[in-house]
Amino acid sequence: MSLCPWVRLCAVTLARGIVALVLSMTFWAIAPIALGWTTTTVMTGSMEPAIAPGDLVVSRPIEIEDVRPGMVLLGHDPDHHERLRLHRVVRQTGRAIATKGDANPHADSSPMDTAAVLGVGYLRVPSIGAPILLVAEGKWGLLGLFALGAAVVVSLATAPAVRRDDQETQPPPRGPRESSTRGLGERLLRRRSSARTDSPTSALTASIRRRKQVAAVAACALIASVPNAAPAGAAVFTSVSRTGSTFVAGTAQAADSLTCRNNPDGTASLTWTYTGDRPRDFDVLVDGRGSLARLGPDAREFVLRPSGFVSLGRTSIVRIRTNLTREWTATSSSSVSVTSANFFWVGVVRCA
Amino acid sequence: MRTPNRKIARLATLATIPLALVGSGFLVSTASYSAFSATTSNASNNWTAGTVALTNDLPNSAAFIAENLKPGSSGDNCIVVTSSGSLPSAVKLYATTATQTKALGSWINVHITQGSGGGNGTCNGFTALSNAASYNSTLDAFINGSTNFANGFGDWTTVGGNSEPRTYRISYDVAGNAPSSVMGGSVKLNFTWEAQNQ
Repeated sequence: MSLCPWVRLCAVTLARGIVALVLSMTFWAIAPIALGWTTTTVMTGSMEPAIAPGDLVVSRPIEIEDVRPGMVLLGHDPDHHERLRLHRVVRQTGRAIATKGDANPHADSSPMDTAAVLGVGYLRVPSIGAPILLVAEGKWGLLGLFALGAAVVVSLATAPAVRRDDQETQPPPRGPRESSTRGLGERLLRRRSSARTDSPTSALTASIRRRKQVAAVAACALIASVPNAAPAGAAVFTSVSRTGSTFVAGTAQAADSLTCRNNPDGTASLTWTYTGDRPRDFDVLVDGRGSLARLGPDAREFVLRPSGFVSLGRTSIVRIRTNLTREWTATSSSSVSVTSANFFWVGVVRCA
Repeated sequence: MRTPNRKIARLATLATIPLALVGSGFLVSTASYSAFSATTSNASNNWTAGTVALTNDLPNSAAFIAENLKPGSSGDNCIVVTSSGSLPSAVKLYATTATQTKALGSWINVHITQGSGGGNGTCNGFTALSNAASYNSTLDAFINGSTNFANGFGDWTTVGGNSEPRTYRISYDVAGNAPSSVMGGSVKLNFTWEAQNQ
């Protein structure tokens, strides 16, 4: 008599419990698909700590009017074709739903359109999608370890909890003691050979084995359906950095405060003020027609001299045009009137 | 102490499996409650799964304050954008909170190249990357066509894990044939870089 049979019983029972736990958790993740719900594998940690990479999240369809801030929405990612976004709703403005990963410092830069919404997070099945994540990330070493662990647990769970030679009813004598970690294939082989014997207990054992095999196939099918049923819900990390910019076009400012002053020599001085950007030049316009003179950008005064041969008491309106470029110009709204009188080389200009 | 017999083993299994079923239901429901009950989200960005982080050397000052522009005016600036996240990411540049008056943006040409060097408000020492994407269009096309990560400009992908800088040289010029109707017009925008993990 030793403790060994009890240790074996505990180990096998624990392994069966783990298998049952994993299978039923997988069931929770997969069964809702029959209702038309969506199951996704969480690929990144942008929703941590609420939702972690490797979790499976079941989303149920939702009417847009039922969407509220704080809900975790699943939808097509506006930033990446064929990727899904699983983030929390911050606010809704019309058709645009602003979302944010809990672990992101800011809301997602692109809001989700109401048409892109697939559902609202309803069930979170922790860690069951970890193998999918390992495959996606190409971590084959870890995946191998994981598979090895799974194989050990499954072979333990399918091993008999009590060895026949440990039972109080005396079994037929057997060979050397088997270890519980004996290979699965070897044990299956042994079962097959024992099932071929014709004793009633062997027939019963054979039917139990068949039931177990069906169950194992069903379990494998269930687990295998996870990757197919679960498009990757890649909730993204984002970070934004910006810098402002202002471009302002200059404006041609009109000259202002035009004044006229009579000079003793028969000419008149035109002065103005100007406060805008340094222009290319100024034009002196007479009666709105062509330029009488083109002046430099610093000019603020122009002396009007009599011109032409004969003009008697003609009054003209003089304005100043600011030229920022040839096309970007502004003509003063204020003006001065001057009268000029000429007779050949003798003439005078006077402010009117 | 008795050695276990088949009956005990069967009892143990029969007890374990319902326990596991109840346990899974408990796990799923509590996990669901903590994940989907409305909470204020955590602002910190340092969870173990990784980070993306982007900064630029002009975060609090403007890349351009260009005033009194007229046909033929031009200028440039170089902005160093640094990625310091742990995850590989793609970085895009686009315009946000853009406004314009008098259609001035249609008459400003924008040219964006990627490279290294320069920064802190100058393009001294800037070297363009030979095989990187560049942008050539009007400011109006940029603020209307590059508005989010999906349609943003750029082909920079970061490796993650280290500080990785990249310089963006942005130059502009006002078209020589800009009409007088754009006088006094303005364009305001934020040049926004966004990194998303891949």
